[in-house]
Amino acid sequence: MSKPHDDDALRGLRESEPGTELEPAELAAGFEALRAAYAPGEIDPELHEALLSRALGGELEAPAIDERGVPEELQSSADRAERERAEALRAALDGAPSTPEARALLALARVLRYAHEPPPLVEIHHEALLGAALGRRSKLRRITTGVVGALAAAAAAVGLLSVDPQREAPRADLVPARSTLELFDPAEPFPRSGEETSRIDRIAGARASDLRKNRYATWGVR
Amino acid sequence: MALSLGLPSPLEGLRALTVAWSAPTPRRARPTRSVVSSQGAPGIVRAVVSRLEPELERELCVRAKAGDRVALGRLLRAYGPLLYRAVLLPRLGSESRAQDALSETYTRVVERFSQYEWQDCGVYPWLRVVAMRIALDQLRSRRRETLFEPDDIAEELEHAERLGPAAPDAEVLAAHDLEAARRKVQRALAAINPRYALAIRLRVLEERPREEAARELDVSVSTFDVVLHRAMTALKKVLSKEAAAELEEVRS
Repeated sequence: MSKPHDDDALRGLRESEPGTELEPAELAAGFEALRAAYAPGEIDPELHEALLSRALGGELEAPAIDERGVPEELQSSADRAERERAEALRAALDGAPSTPEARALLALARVLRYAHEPPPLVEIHHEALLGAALGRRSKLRRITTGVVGALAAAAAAVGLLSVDPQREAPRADLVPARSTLELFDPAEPFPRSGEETSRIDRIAGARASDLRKNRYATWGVR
Repeated sequence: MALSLGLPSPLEGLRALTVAWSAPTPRRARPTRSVVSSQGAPGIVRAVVSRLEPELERELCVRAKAGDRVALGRLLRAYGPLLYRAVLLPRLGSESRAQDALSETYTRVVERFSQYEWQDCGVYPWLRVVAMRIALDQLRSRRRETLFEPDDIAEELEHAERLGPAAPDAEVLAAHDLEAARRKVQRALAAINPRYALAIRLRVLEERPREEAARELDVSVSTFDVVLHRAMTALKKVLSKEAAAELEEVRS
């Protein structure tokens, strides 16, 4: 649409060039083209979103929300489901992830944080890693071995106590109480987390076997 | 409430040393322990390094090469935490994966230290290359959303190998690695809406309380939660697309 100052300009053009007999609409179009080339304006944001959405087949992230000046109850176009997901993320960031999506976003938050400001390695973890690599028993491993050793001793004690006291036990043939170290490859450190059940299963299986052997030995059937 | 990502608090009371990525610098006599915090002015990344005197380091390397595990332990005790913090954790994005990688790095160092040849730049550049190779293997074997793609690390490795004995010393390399990781974060945030990027920066990177971040964005706290959720979802989508594009490129 031509503005008042556009009309003045058009009139001026016509008067300065008497041979020009263009229609006002043609002149206005020409003037708009000149203005667009000289001082192009911004694209309307809504139009831009619509164009992008059409071009990318709806594969767009939600446009930014500008809530300034909007009453709180009308702020954001989030529906209930989105607010619940946002709340789950908030809880995850506060240390209580509850949904797979919140856990995934928490993992992403950590990726960003670790790249931006990586925290130092906790010393006890470092000692455990060093000990494993250099074949020394770290503090962590010593604790684990101690607990496992106590379990082994308890299992062996059960084996010894369950024999018939009237029968003379062929003690020399009994499987002795011993460490569980031989059940694990010393070159392969325990993982930092996980596989506890399989380790306990392995120890329990081995000790059950010891118990059976001891019983058979005391019964004289071996 | 403060953001809780389960991260240990930064070291306190330690002297910070500002370093910058530059041309190789000659090694000087230094204190046996200096420290690092990466809190600093924008554009400057500081690195905390438990350094060894060059002469002592050389002697330890000679002993370790001859099979002295105690000497090798001292070298790894000095530089392992730096490998973890500057190289592995930022590139792998998870504490458990970074610790697995450090463990694997140590195993490989123990196996291959006999092949190491002393360089004036010290042992750290060699350890860093070993750690980067492990990180590269991990990234290739497990596709997850990370800021670093295998190609990024392959490029860093190539650069490290080109430097060879002209490599800068530990704190310069660490500062470079930390800075590279921060640039990755900035690049990722630049790919999403600036308002989303601001929400992530305030709440996740700067760990500001929700109320403060909401005030900064001029929205209510509940709306801020929605904005942050949209921001993280948008960033996840961007990173997934980049990873998919790289995979496609590798396949083709």
